[in-house]
Amino acid sequence: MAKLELSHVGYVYNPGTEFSSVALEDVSVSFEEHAVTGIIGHTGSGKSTLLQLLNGLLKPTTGQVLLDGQDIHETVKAKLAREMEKAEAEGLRISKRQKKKEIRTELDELRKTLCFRVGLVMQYPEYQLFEETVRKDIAFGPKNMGLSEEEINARIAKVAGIVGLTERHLNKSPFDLSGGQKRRAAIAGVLAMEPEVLVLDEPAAGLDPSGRTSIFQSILEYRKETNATVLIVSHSMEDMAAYCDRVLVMNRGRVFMQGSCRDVFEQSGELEKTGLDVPQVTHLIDLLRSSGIDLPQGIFTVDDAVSAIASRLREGGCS
Amino acid sequence: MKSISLGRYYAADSVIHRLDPRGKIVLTILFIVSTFLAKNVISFALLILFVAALSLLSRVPLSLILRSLRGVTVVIIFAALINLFLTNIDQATFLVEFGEWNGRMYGITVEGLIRSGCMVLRIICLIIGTTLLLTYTMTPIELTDGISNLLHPLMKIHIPVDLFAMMMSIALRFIPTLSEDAERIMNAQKSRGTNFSDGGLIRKARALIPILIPLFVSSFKRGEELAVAMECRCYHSGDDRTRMEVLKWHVRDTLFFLLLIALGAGIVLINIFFAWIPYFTVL
Ligand SMILES: Nc1ncnc2c1ncn2[C@@H]1O[C@H](COP(=O)(O)OP(=O)(O)O)[C@@H](O)[C@H]1O
Ligand SMILES: [Mg+2]
Repeated sequence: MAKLELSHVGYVYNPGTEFSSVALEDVSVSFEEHAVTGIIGHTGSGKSTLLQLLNGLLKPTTGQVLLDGQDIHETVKAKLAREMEKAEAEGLRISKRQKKKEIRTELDELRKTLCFRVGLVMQYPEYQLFEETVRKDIAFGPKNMGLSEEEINARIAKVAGIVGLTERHLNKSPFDLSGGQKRRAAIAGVLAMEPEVLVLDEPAAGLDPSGRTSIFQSILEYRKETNATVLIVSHSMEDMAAYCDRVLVMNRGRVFMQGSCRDVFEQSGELEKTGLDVPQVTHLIDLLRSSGIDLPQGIFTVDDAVSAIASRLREGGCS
Repeated sequence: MKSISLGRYYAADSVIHRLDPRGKIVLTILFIVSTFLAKNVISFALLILFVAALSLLSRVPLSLILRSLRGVTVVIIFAALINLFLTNIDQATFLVEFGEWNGRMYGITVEGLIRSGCMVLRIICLIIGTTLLLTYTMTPIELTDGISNLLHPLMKIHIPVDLFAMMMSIALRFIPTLSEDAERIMNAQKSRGTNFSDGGLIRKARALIPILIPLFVSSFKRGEELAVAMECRCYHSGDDRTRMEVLKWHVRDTLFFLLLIALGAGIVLINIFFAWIPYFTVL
């Protein structure tokens, strides 16, 4: 079942002014539960806008955002009308006032907990650090959720383990950390809210290779522990191929392509039309194939390439 | 790209846009003086003619020009009412009488109507004229440049005008950047469940801490980076600094200058020669 779904979503910044700009147009996608979906696209293609729609920071100009099948911006009136109609069709008689009250509490609850259920890590999240110590900063989200002291401490210990921060780091001021550590501390602040859907906007941007790997490892570990649905925006095709199950390609505010990594990267011609690229190792394999070396198609990660070439060498008895 | 229009500059290529900023600043002062000199119907007509010509020449859309009045609607209404009801002249011609109070008659008078109309016209001309000259057709950077140029003689008595101008330009340049930063940080903290709207004053103030601290930190960082970048390019203040865009005085600047002198002189002459036309000095 789709955990999160966008249905014909459009978003316009500053509508009705001379600065109005269309960021998204008729976007319909669904994100499967427990899957890791990568979102790629050029700068300005609407990726960040899309992410901000998911946790209610932005409200779509047109269309709906559905979490577990529930429109997150549905009005009490609309939902009541819908439920009453359904009840009538089933021949049930229910009290309208009672139902209205139920729906109101339900939607209020949804709105209040939305940002905890869909945890958004914004681009360059280290800018959001503000507390005296890393520990306090990580506790900020859970505190806003109204969790108990013990629960908060348990969560801090857990996420610190996931992102690889030690006790020593936790007691430091966030401003004394290195760039990569700051990033991990900020991500930990969102993980500590234990969101069902984890959404990250270019989490590895501007980090060195080992920093990148450790961020992605943390994300995968969080998913393994909580079985969360994960969405990652990234510019690196290599990262997409290595960590994601599915890929969504955005272009000029529209969905350009979506599918499994294999489906998307096999269409390198289409991808290149939008100025995007397939992973470099896929290029290499393509070159080898076109020069007559018999290698399988659809290799997107260095590890796969290594094993394919190794087995080819063994078969050929070259070594 | 973003929605922040500082000083509401309207980008267009018009004569008014191309006028020398130094000239425009002085022109604005002359214009303000002229509006206050206008004392009767004919001089107001001249003033309106001038403002209309300025609007047409500037190519700023009428809707935008009228929008500049929105901020002062209250002031205009207040001025109109005060002048309408409190014009205090002997032998006023009453249209409507409200009654006597403290031995004085209150009501709507012909004189009050005229004076209130003049006052409204004066404020409207003043606002439209100054916003056109100073904000719609001049970028904040041009304005700073113009002011620092005009104040340049003060350097002789060791007032660091150029430093102030540089500080001003940098501040203006960074307002959109800071507001973007603020928005981004706000969104990040909202994503962690901060609530800015609920609760009393103290809770609301406390909700600002997670925004203000990161904002200060990033501003200081930006400031430091900018300082280093400027020093790397050998920035220093002082008299021997040349500028990339040297302000040039053109014939059109002289023409506009003469036009405004003519406007001011015209208004003064009209005041003298048509003194019999009724106008009643403000309170
Ligand atoms: N706060 C904003 N105000 C106005 N326009 C914006 C704002 N944020 C983004 N945009 C515009 O929306 C479009 C999509 O931007 P964004 O979602 O940030 O793309 P991406 O994250 O893929 O680079 C761009 O054209 C951008 O100029
Ligand atoms: Mg972005």
